[in-house]
Amino acid sequence: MGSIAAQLVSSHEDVVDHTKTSAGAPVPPTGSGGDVEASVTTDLSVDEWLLVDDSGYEPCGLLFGVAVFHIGLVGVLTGNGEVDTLSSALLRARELATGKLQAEARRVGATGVVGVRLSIDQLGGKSHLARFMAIGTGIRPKGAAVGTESQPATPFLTALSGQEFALLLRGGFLPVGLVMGVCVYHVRRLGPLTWLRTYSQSIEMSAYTSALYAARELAMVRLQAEALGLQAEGVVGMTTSELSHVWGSHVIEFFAMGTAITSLPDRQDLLDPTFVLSARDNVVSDPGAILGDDERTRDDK
Amino acid sequence: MTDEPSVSEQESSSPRGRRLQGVPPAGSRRIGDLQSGAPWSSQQAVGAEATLRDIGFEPAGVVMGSVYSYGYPYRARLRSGTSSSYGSGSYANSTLDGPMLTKRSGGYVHDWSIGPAGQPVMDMGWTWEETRSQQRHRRIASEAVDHLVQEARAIGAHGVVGIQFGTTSMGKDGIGADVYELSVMGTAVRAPGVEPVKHPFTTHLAATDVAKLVAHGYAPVSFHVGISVVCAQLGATTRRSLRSMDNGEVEQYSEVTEKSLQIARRDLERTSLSAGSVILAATPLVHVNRSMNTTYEATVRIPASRVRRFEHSGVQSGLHYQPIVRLNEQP
Repeated sequence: MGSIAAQLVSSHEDVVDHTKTSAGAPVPPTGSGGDVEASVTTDLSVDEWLLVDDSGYEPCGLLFGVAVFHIGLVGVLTGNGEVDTLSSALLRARELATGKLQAEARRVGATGVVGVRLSIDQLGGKSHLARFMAIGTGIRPKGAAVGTESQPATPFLTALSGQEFALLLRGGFLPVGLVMGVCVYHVRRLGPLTWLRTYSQSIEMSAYTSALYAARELAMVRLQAEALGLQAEGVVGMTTSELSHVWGSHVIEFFAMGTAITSLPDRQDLLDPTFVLSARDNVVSDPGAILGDDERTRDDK
Repeated sequence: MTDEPSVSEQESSSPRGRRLQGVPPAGSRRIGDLQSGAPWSSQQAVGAEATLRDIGFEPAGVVMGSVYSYGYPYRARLRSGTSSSYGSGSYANSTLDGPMLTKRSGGYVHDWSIGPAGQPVMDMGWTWEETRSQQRHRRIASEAVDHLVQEARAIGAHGVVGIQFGTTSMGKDGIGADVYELSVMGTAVRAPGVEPVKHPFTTHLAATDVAKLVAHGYAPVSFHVGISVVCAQLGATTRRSLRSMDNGEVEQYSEVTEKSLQIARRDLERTSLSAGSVILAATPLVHVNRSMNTTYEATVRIPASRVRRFEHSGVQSGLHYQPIVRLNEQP
């Protein structure tokens, strides 16, 4: 039989000769009726895919949701306070993008979408146009027929990776949805008198403190409210970020996102951590990051 | 340019005298050296090297393919082509055209439909399938991969792993033609003692991932880039919403981008090789081009590798190819 490599090479030749393609060149379409056993695209990594597969799920497609949003006029900002126009724009745009992702998931018969990534891009440097993209891989239990009652009306979305999703299932939890909280806050500029009073001292800028504190709490309470609405037990993988986008230094978006989870009825604690030595390192896959680190260290010295 | 003849001269003087079409003289020389036993190179990490040898492959050398191209926007209505001068780094000779817009759109189109694969679809001035611009991008990508495969074949490789795909935009030239370089680079691998093949397998997955796949009954088949260009003339609704002072979705923009992503995905899926196979994709690269508030163009590229079922009777070593769950994973 020969080595694994020899078997792989010879069976590969059979496959390729069968379809008569030159490697890398797109094959001409075979006709419209060719979707009997269509191939499935996924952006899961090999690790994620194999683990999702292990947990009894199969990928059913790389799914997208896109919302290009026009952000309305903001007017003159004074004082500490939330910028409602921006808060609602950023939340609605993200909800639109994830909503479309969910709609696509329903269309392909997925019960959920894992590894959801949200990205925002400003279009052409214009501050009033932003593109929100949600990308993830739809999954469904293996062997489940499409369009039966086993498919939930609203597939869950989760920002967790395939690995984390598998771990979550093993721990006896199920994701119920993506929850978000958004708050865009304007932080008051210092008046000339305050500036004169404080510029030579080391003191707390209490106006800033209260503004940033309030804004972050607002974002988190909104996330909490969303989780409550989903009847979740908890929220895992919660991240908070502070983004200034294109608004300069005094307008800040606080964005909290996480995955709401609920426990399975027959849950037991049976996660046992194990030690692993990975044969992969990131030298090749992300040369930029390594380089950047070196540079930073050098600067610090 | 006087480069052309000298190139063929140099290529024919490479050790095996084999002309590699589209590969520059230095590349042919490098491949020639590799053929005659020069030290191999590999982009795979040291640990990954071990997993590669465990399934019976050894590195054969780094191979690449690169295409430098420019194309004029539709407005210019000019025929354009990739330069054939080696000095500017071009190794493709195809003639290319800018994107094609056929009709003006009177208003906003809600009803999207996609025809059978490969059929141009035109609907009230919207054309989002098989535009010439899309054909050009697809051709460039497949040419680059062809060059890489050609290099791999020349050094007797049976496969290429860890293909990295990148485009470098050189911006626009004086009359608005977009200029970019597309390159692919990967590590060719060889199964010692096995006859050379016509079609080496290609994948963007790293050696470790390939070993894991093999351990779980899958094998890499081929690397593709799913490509789509969707271009639309702005409708009246879009113009209105761009002028608006309120929050609101620019639906046409959203849909153009979404369509483009979907078409790129279908481009990957329609290269159907074996039924029920799985395509492992990298993150889609989306590039948007707005010109003068009259058109909106979304270019999507999704690098991906197809894998197939593969049952083997060999024994892998005691190394454990378990998918790794890290408890400290960053979300």
